[in-house]
Amino acid sequence: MDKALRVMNVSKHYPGFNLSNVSFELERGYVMGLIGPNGAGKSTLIKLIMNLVKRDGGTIEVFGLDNQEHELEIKERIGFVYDTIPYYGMLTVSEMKSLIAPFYQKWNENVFRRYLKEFGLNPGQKIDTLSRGMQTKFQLAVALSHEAEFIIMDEPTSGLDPVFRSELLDILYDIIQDEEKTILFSTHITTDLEKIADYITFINDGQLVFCMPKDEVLDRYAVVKGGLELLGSGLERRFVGMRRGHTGFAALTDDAEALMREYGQKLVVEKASLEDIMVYMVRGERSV
Amino acid sequence: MSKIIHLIRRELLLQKRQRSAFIAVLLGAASAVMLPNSPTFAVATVIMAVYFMTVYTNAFDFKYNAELGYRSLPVSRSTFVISRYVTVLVITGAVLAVSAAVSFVFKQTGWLDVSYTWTWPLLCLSIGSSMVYFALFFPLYFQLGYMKSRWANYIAMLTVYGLLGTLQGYLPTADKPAVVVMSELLKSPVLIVGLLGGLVVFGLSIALSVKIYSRKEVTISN
Repeated sequence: MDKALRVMNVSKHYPGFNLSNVSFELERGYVMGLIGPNGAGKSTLIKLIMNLVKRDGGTIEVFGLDNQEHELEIKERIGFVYDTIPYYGMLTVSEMKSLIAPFYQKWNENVFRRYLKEFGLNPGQKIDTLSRGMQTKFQLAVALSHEAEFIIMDEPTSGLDPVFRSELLDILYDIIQDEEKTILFSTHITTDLEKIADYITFINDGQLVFCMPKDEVLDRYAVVKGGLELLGSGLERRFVGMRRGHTGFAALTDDAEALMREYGQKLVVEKASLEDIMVYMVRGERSV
Repeated sequence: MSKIIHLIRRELLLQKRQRSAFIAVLLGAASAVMLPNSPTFAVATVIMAVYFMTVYTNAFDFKYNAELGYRSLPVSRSTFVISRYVTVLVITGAVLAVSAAVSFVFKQTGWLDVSYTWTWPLLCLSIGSSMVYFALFFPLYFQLGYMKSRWANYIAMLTVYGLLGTLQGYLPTADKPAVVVMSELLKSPVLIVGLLGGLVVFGLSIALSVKIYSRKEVTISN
């Protein structure tokens, strides 16, 4: 199938941080959630894809093109939304648009106006005076007004209240209905991704933990709970991460069915959320 | 080419929005008053006006994290760098136009004893000095960024102002006004060699800045 993005063995070294041999692919028309704790390497990866920082090793292809050799061609087809708006705050929405639009060959003024109206953005309002949520909407309006095929979003919902986040996710849900647009969405608010993501890529400490279809991730992992007396017989080895309390434990496992067969009602098995998966995997074993 | 024009427009729009151009206009007018007796200081004031506007743009880019924005647009790094240099020439031309207009009006009306206006040699000296100033400044700015390059301003400023001050010091004391003496000093061969030298330095500086900026990474947090 047609790939929007191929990241192959990409490495980047900073003092005190290494992104090591990360590889994953994203097909056109799908939404990929990029999750991981703060400092995991999500923003580094996004900036490598945008060629804002240079990779130390590996290759990155966007639409089958090397992202360094074909940077401008690729950027014509990419829309970006960052966690903090990288536009001049003292300019109005309309003025800022007039600075950005000429750089895109396929800028569509009618589409931009339609999105301004749909998002409730006032063209005469200064960017500094827009709320954080409205600033994100403005970035999204810009991203959608030059017929971008691939939208890269770096923590677009961070700092937004739940109502605004929900609204933004509804907008993204509408955008992906045509199955033409591809979205890479980095966040540490994993509940957002449960609503819209097709694939989940989990990065921790600069390493790729997994890249899988979201439904497969949610089917594969489960949270099991039980009494402390069950521990010590090798059960812990079958957990990905565990929290040990005074009277019992809660753990993440990818072996829930077998555990159910062996331990029956001594264990309580619950569906794991993406947040559970991320938290248990990052923290490993700890006492509470 | 059209992208360079849009980038120049970007800088001018920022100045217009912040009304920082007003101060540059005032400095341009002040240089007209200084011109008859202290032509090198008039030239230095023109550079100060251009510097003022250029550094304002750098400050806006820094304040609003704009580098992340335009580096994400389909604009090459070399286009961006070249646009900064071309904008300096555009602003220098604009400030000189203001100064020339003011000195013309003052001369016609006799205000502030302004009896001489800009001559071609002095206009060329201004443009050449501005080119040398920013040829020193921009590579340091692109290498170090806004915050760390502020000291580079002072070094570039001291260098260019020192050269202009030295030039003023060497003017022979005669009955003629300094502006006339200096214009005579800068007759054809000196002027042509100076301008060609300025162009070479400017061109080398652009090449160096493009090289620096092509390697430069956007500062990020993970």
